[in-house]
Amino acid sequence: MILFIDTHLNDVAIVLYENGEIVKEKVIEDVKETSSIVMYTIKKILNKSIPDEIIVVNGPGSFTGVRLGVTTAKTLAFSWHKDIRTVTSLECMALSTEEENKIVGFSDKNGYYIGIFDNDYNLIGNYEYISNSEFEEYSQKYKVITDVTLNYKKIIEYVRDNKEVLNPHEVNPIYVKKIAVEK
Amino acid sequence: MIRVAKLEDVSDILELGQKLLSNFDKTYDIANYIKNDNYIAIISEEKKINAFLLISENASSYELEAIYVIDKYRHQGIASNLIKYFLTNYYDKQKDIFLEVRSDNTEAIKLYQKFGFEIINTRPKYYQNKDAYVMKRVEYMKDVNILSIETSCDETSIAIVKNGVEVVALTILTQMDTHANFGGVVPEIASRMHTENITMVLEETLNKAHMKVSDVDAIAVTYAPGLLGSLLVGIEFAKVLSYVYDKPLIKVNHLVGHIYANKIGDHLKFPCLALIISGGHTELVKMTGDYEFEMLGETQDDAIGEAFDKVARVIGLPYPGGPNIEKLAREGEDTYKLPNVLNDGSYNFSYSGLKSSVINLVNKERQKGNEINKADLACSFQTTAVKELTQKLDLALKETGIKNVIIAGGVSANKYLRGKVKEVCDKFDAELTLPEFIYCTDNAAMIGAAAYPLYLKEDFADLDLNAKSTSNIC
Repeated sequence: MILFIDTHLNDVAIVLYENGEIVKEKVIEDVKETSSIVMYTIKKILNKSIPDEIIVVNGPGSFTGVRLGVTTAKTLAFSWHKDIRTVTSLECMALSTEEENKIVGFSDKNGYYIGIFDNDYNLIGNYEYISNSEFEEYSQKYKVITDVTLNYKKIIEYVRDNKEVLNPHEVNPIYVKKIAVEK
Repeated sequence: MIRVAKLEDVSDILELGQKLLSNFDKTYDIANYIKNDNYIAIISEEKKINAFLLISENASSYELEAIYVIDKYRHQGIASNLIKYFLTNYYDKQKDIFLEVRSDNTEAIKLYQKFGFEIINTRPKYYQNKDAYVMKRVEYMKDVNILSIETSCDETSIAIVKNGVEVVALTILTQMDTHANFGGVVPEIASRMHTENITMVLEETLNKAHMKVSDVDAIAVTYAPGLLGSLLVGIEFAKVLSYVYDKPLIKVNHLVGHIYANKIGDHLKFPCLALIISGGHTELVKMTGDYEFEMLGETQDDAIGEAFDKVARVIGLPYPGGPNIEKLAREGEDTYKLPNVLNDGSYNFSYSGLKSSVINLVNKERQKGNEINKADLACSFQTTAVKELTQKLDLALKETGIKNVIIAGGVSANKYLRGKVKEVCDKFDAELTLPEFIYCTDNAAMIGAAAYPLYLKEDFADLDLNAKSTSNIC
């Protein structure tokens, strides 16, 4: 049984995978206070069972949102002594599209997070965060996929088969976007 | 108020007792119990009795006969308080205590177990068709270990505290060096570092204590006030532990934590005046008991620690400003004239005027091309800032007649301030209690100490607990 946690934006997704299938899926849209619902939702979904593995989306996205998901996942893995793996929000998008050129991106109001992937879902170059005006220019040159429905089954199976198991202490968010003091 | 029953309480006790047992008046001759010095404690509010505890005593043991709390006052820890009152004030440790309880009254059984009672016997069909358990108290109150978490600012700290007074293990990971590069705490970086380090801080704390999370009785966490993003990391972490290990979750106010830093080693005595002084708070609070607060006065603008930090920046001292002002002030004298403090007969404080006048003074002297004597200015500022506190404390000691004073919060680490507060206390023959140095600044041990009374009251939080950036203690 694999528990998948994604809190990187305003939507919170908690998914349970078992024997080749998504057995439970709870997506709560447009959450105002992520902290109030994450643990509560996980508790309901798990219904007293303990997963064998945990997968968490470790960003990029809302700083606080990503942090809550990662803190929850690493603490669960540490406490239960279970395997934990991470996947990025942009990898999730790339894994969920059938298009050939996988340039994926999503907006956080002030700008766009962008990632370019090859057909084996390997990241080409680095993730980038660009402003809305830069995005306008960029999207005229390249076709950016911004609207995908996440394919949780494919994401979970890909991560399970391709990503390495991490020490829970070393599971941390990636932020990409610079904060004022870093500029 | 808890007190021992008197003869004039008999009719009230009988009235409550009827609700417990239809033939209560036939079973217990309350007047006789009182006359024979058997023990009846009651809780009364003005003239009305809300709860009672009846214990009979013979040569070798006690029997807990009855305990009753009226509906409206249930789930507030009143039954616990009655038992605690008996154990603290009347109980002779040489004697055993017995009681009988219906086997399906799980709530009462849980309460008794908390006080060290164990089931020693079953009496089949004792209550009509229900069994009764005979319980005996085998030890004085089981030890309570609380795992506590503090992440409200730039320290990731986890502790295990026993019975609210003894620190079993404490780890404090400070981010001060990182934030010093930016001249102050950067909230986003503080939150990031909490997430990076928190499981490691837990592991280290457990190793120090030679304990597992499953060994503790509850998980406590600071939920307010503080940096929102930082608080949220600690809260989420605490919720996970509470869920995985099925332990009650206790939310603790950071400022109450600073007060309860004095409980470590059991130094907190009531009634007392508490001076809470930190980067975000300047408050004078009267305490009459555990979690019984009355705000006497608070800052009308800046907090004292904030003023220290801003003045430090203006005269070019590195972060953290407060300790650096204190250090520099030792080399200077009180030569600069600074405006006097808020003197309106209230217990309120004000620091923005003082802060502004220092800034203006520095700017004026610079314009004139004059060199500022930084040490003298630091000393003058510190002297005036502390005088603001001591004047109000002086007034409160005089008007309340209270003889215990505690200082809490980060600024209580200032030694000059400690000395001046001590002088005022000495003047009124009041006892000053200071937390040990390590418990003055942010730490999780104080959160564990503050969580203990809440644990006894079973004041628990749910998994939807959220952080609050601002919050007063009363």
